[in-house]
Amino acid sequence: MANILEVENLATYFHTFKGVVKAVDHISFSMEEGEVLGVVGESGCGKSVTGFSLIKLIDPPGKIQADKIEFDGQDLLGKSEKEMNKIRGGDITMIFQDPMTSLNPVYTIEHQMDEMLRLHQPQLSRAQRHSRCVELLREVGIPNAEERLKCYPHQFSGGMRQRVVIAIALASAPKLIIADEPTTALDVTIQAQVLQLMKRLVNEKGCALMLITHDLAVVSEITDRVNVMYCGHIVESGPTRSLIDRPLHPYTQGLLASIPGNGETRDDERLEVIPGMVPNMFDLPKGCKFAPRCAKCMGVCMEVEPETVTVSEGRRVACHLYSGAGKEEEQ
Amino acid sequence: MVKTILQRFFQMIIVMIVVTILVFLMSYKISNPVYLLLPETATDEQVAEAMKELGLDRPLYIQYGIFLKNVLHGDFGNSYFYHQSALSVILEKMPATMELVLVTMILTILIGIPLGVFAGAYPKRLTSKATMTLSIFGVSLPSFWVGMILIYVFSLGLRVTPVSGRGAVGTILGIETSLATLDGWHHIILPSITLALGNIASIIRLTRAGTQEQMRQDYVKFARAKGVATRKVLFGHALKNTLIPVITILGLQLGDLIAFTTITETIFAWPGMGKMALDAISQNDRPIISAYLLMVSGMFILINFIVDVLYTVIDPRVSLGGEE
Amino acid sequence: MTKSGQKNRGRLRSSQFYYNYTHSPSAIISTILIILIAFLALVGPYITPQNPFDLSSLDLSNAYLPPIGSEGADPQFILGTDQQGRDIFSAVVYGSRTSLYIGVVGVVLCSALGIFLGVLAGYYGGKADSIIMRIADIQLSFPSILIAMFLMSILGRGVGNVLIALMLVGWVKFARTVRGETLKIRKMEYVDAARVIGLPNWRIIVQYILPNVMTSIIVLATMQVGTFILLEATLSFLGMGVPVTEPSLGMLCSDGYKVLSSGRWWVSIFPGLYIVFIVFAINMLGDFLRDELNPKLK
Repeated sequence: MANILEVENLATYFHTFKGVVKAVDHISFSMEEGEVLGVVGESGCGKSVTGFSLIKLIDPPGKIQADKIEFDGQDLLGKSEKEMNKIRGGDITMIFQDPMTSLNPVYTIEHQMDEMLRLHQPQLSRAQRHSRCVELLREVGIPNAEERLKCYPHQFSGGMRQRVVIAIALASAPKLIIADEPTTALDVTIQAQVLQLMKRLVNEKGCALMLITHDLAVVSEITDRVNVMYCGHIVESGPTRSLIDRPLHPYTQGLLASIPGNGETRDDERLEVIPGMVPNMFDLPKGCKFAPRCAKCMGVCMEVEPETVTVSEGRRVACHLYSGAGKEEEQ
Repeated sequence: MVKTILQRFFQMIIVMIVVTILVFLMSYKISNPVYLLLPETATDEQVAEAMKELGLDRPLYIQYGIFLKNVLHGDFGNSYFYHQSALSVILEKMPATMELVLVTMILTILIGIPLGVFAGAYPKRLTSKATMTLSIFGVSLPSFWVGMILIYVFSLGLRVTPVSGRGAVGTILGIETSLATLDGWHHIILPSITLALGNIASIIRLTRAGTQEQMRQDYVKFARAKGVATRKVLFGHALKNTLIPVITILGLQLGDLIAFTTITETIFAWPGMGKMALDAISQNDRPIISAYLLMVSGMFILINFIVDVLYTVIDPRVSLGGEE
Repeated sequence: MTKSGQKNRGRLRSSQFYYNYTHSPSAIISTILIILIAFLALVGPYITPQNPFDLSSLDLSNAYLPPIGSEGADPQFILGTDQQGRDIFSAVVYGSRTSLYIGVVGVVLCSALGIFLGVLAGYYGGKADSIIMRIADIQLSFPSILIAMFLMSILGRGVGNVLIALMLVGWVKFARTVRGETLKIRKMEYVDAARVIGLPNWRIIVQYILPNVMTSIIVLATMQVGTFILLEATLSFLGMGVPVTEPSLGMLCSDGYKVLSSGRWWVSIFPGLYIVFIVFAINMLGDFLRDELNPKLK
């Protein structure tokens, strides 16, 4: 299948008075059409910034640099703000974390859905737009769609509101949806429903989904492939099943081990934690960013940043354990 | 919604009663009208008799009762100075004050809100920064001094505006107003600018703060992710959210304006009820003072009530809050 | 310098507040202006050419001299003189002493009252809370200038009375802010913890509540000094503020206003200009502090 998205050496830096925050530091990845990609990591690892960088929604003091951001055969880097506005909400849409705040409180749901259609499907008539709105609400499982359209966001529950947000994201029949922690703000019981809904809809529509989350359980449930991020770098990537069964990077291993009831941890065993904290973004370690917290840290890790190497089919990892230098030291 | 409005209505009545008590106590405290009515040579007996006649020898609460009863009948007593009923004096002066307030309010809204929105949406621009510095300057100006400067420069120096007074009046909808004549407009320019300057400055600051806060909200970013152009996000999404609290501020400002007309009217010799009130204080014209205080208090309370009701009508979160 | 002092200094230096302060021209300029204004008020009696309110030092033959730069000016009186031959510069410096005194003391008094009532309402809640907040709400629907005029017409002129009026006008802002923050802090777990270990209420208030509301108080107080100076000036201009024996800047304006139409602008313009200068400097600093410390305050 063809790649819908190709990103090479994306770097998003924030220039603040204390220094430069390298929120995303030269990452490369790609997505296939209709693929569900998970982007996982602790908070502050740059996963949300990655999402916003793709549609160039980074405000100063942030700056985006890349060798290539190619979406559906178009070069997004060279596009003007005006051209980007066609893409945003058109071929690429977003779902935000908190449905409480991502909808405008003073407009009806219909107004906010209609806005999307007016902008990106100007050929539709008023009546057509209305019926499309009703249809969309039905698709995301909101009963009484006709009536609910006239309601304001505060009249919906959190889960229902997120469904509305999903409906808005689907309105323009996008080729890629970027979902930034779409279930984090929801109740656990609602989370599963919303996830299933998203999975079903992207499958039906054949659109790709980039799911940004800190929750590996969510990832294992619906994604095809995963990028694990740490301090602005992609430390490991691969097909979901294989990555979860055989994590390569010590960070991924740590993340997986810290999920209660996962894999090797049994009831009588203590839950494992990754020692230490995410380092200060102003003062990152010199070599591998994870080295200070890593149980398998070697001398070289403190000095040299590991290259990303392909270990097996589709599995890539940035760790000295798997690169030439590390292997030598091990011997 | 009806319940909230009723609740607010009762609160309004209670506040009004409190105000009548305060005004009554004040007028009781500041002067004994007997001395104003009697010649200076009056004997103690004459004073006592006059006090009895006016009911001033009776217990305080009974005097208050009489006061309240009269007030409810629109009887605030006769002005010692104008020799007619205080209420009719005030009603006669009111249009002059209201036209001043109206023009000022329009200036404030037309100038202050757009500048505030602009400065809030583009805080980094030089024009925004200049606007903000000027607005700090604006809120630092004593309005009496601004009036003096304007008179000195435009009336005494350049001689382009009249020094004082209201000018010729005409009638609009049966109300005598200087807004109906060109001469009247000529007269109202300086006083309304004086009154508006501080007001514009503070509405700029509040609107800017509101806009900035709205621009940080998630829904703004979501709208941008929908492909809405930045300008449309500002005017289509943030503005309505910004303007809802601005209504409250405008309501409060309306009250402030009415109070500040006392100063502006005094400086420009504008024959409104503000100047009348200050004159009454220096002349110890008790009925006028209490009538004025009750009248404007009533206005403030009413304005607040209207703003509250308006708020529930405009903000969907408030008006429909009970339905969830 | 003690060790902890040095540590604090280091912390201050590396803080965002310090960085923004040193990089904000308006904050630095306004601080310098405020220091200058305060200095001039403090040393005023030693540097002014005359004591403007000692009638024996006035000479009627110097009446209505224009400021230097105009025709007929006397270099001894740089800002000119009034109808009694009083040096306007000296009068402005002396007037600023009264204005600043009232502004600063007024804010100290009303913030004390406001903090007390705010903590009472926010920490103890219940009846005290509802009564205090009802009064605050009612008071807020009336313009402060009108309340001040109302109070002054009962109390009569006088510096002490102006301070009382300002205190009664200004406490609401402080009380509402303090109450709001007290409510928030009271729900914090560290306060719960303090209660669990049996700390008395007053110690919780002193150790946990007050330090946390302090930044907001500083911002509000700074802005309020400017507001109070303006309010006092207005009252005095109307003849309802300070007595003639202790004229403030507002009162000097009022005196000068009477001769404005005869072209003697300097008598009223300079005192007013100095009010603007003082209040502008204070408001600039207040604005910076608000943006930095608590942008939500109004």
